[in-house]
Amino acid sequence: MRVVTFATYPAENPRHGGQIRLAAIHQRFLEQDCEVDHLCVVQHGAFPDATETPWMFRLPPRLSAHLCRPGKRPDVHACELFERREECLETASALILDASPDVLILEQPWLWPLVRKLRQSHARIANIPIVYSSQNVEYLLLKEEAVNAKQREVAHEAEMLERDLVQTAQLVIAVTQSDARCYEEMQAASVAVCRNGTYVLPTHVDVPLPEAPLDKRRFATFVSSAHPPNATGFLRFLCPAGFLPPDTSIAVVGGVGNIIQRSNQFREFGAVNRARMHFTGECALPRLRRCLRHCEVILLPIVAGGGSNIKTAEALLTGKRVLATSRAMRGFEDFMDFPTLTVEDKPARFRDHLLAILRTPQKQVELTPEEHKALNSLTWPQTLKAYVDLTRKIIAG
Amino acid sequence: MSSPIRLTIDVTTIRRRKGTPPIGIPRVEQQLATFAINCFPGEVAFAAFDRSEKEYQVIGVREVRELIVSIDPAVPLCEEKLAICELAEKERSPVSFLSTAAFLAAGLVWDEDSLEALYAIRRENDFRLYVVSYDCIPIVMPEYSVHGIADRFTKFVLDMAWSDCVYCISDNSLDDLAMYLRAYGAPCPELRRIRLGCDFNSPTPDVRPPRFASLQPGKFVLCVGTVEARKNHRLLFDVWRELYRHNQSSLVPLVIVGGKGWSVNDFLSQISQGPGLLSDYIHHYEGLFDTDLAWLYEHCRFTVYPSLYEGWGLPIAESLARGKLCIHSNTSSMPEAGQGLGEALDPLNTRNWIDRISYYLHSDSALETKESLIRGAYRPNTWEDCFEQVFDEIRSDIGLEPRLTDVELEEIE
Repeated sequence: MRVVTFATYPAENPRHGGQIRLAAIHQRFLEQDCEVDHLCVVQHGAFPDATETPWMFRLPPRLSAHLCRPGKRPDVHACELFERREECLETASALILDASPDVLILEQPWLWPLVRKLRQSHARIANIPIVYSSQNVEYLLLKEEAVNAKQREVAHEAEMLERDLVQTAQLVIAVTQSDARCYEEMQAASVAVCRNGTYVLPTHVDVPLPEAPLDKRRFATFVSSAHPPNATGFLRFLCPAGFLPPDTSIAVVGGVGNIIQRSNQFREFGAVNRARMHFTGECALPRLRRCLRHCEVILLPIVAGGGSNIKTAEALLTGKRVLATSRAMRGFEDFMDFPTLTVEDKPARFRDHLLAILRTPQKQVELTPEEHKALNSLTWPQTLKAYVDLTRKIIAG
Repeated sequence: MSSPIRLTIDVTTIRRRKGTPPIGIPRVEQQLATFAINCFPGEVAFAAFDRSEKEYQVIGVREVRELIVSIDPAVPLCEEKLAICELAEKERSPVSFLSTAAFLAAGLVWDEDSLEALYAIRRENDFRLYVVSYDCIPIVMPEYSVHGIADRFTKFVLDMAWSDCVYCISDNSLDDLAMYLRAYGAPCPELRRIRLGCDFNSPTPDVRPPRFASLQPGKFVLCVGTVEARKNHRLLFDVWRELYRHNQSSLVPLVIVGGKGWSVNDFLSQISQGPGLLSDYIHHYEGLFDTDLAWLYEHCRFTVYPSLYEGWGLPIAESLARGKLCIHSNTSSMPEAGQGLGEALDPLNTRNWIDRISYYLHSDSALETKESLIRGAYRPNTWEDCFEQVFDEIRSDIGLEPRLTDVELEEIE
């Protein structure tokens, strides 16, 4: 089987959730002896460490800047590249025709205008089955985030785009049951769910303590990438952090730290928050491992964003105590009663739970064999187990 | 049987500032240690924070004595009581304060970041933690504070929230602390109010100290306080400059007593440009001991204190306790320190200060009337009064009679 996937980011060196899922999907296809090509359109200057291949289309600087203006988004409007540059469209068309794939998989709907155009002009492409591999119901997410008329207009464009793709695709693969129901209501031909997963961090390795002051404190870990909605819940639930005792901390790991520290909510009580929070910035895996291994609890204060959170699977799989909102548990509803998990949606009670956990150190919770088995179902090989087979069925018609 | 440690006193600040003059917060810690040895020997212990090791160490009473005396040799330490403390220390060997029932930190705790360590110790060793809070000025007015202190100080306030009780030195500073703790989402420990002492270790000398040879008794105005922007010495300079230009005949020198603080280089450079005014009418002294200060208070015409914001305003209390009028600011805690007996003015209204200072320079009768009122009504507090209250309350908190019982006294003797 030959597969071409489409996204607005590369799968190489995955950092954010979308990339991680895409990389895991590629891995599953490669393990099943499939050939995979990935066409991506990326912003000027983004992903500097990604390998430049003919399949990677970089937005020219001016267009990249144009798509950052109000009323535009670099992802939603990425296909303007092919409207403005005929040669790019021709290259994309040639690559796909040459690859002669058995299936086209769109990870998010943003490159659908390109695929749609190629289908209109090339009968061979029009006959290739389409899979919409969704991470969120994207238009709903944009609607939720929209705070002005221009953003609402973008959300409307996204809705038109996503509806068209859902109604054209032979298969929609969602990450949660609620997303799946939404696509069914949008008249999808066929919908399946392959939830997000994670990779197992080796636990037999002796992991050194994290840096000061975490080495001497009881701490909670919050891991997230630099995607603004990731910071919303953290700020709402945990700032100002004056409720934490002197020998405790919250380790904020990943690019989300920059968004948090730049926010007005953080800066209003900057000194308070700096006293009780430790920001590692984007960090390499060993450092992340230290924070996860030695913390008392992993925080998932997610209140915005759709789909399901890869960080939830990661957190659960560590066997650590996890303090989450119900939104963070989307796609993982079967874990709601898991013994390591506390779910709380009220900020004040969320803080109370955190305090109680930090007062009772317990680095690892004892789990039964059944509970360990349940955790293993969260690994990518398990969560994406059906993905390849579902795709094969679509190709077989 | 060894005598139990009822209270451990933090002497980190006087240990770090060994040999410096007794001013501000180090003076409080010094007075506290002195009181503890003199009044509760045998039941107190001392500890200091080691910044590099980030841990507390026990400090023997002999070393504490050295620290106290290095700051002011005139401190009235009772040798008999010191001996009782030493005996108790020997009985307790190996030395540890971890069995203490209470711990009191009254120094520059934010400079040490020691509360986090104390909190960790307290988690394993159950004792009551008391902290003295002087003000929230680095939060209220970060622009007037030592550069970079705001984060350190805010952390101190947050850490203090987890103590059992905080002693605040004025209603205003107590209100500030409660307000910030609420805003930060931090818990609020019990907040108690104390009044700092305003007595000196030494009596007023009978003869004028030689360094004040140029000062005529009754013919100078005194301002005590570190020279830093918040203390608003600039206003006094403007007042004296104005009086020098328009009313030189009745002008007397302004005597500023206080070390050079932070962010005042421009100001000091500016006032050095007015040579006549500076050499004849503005005198600056620093590093004075109590005996010098006592003479200045005794012989000044009146005192001035135009600070923008204070946690208490000790120079106001010191002035009034000696029957001297203090013209002070009407902001923050200063009206409390003045008990309505000083003259409270807006520290941003220079014209008002010119008028009132000029008035009291000219009118002997007005000054006498004020002084008579002060002598009749002002209620001074001694360091002993202050710490008696603290010790009584702490003893009561840990289940003892507030005062030493006869049996305890006998045991001590």
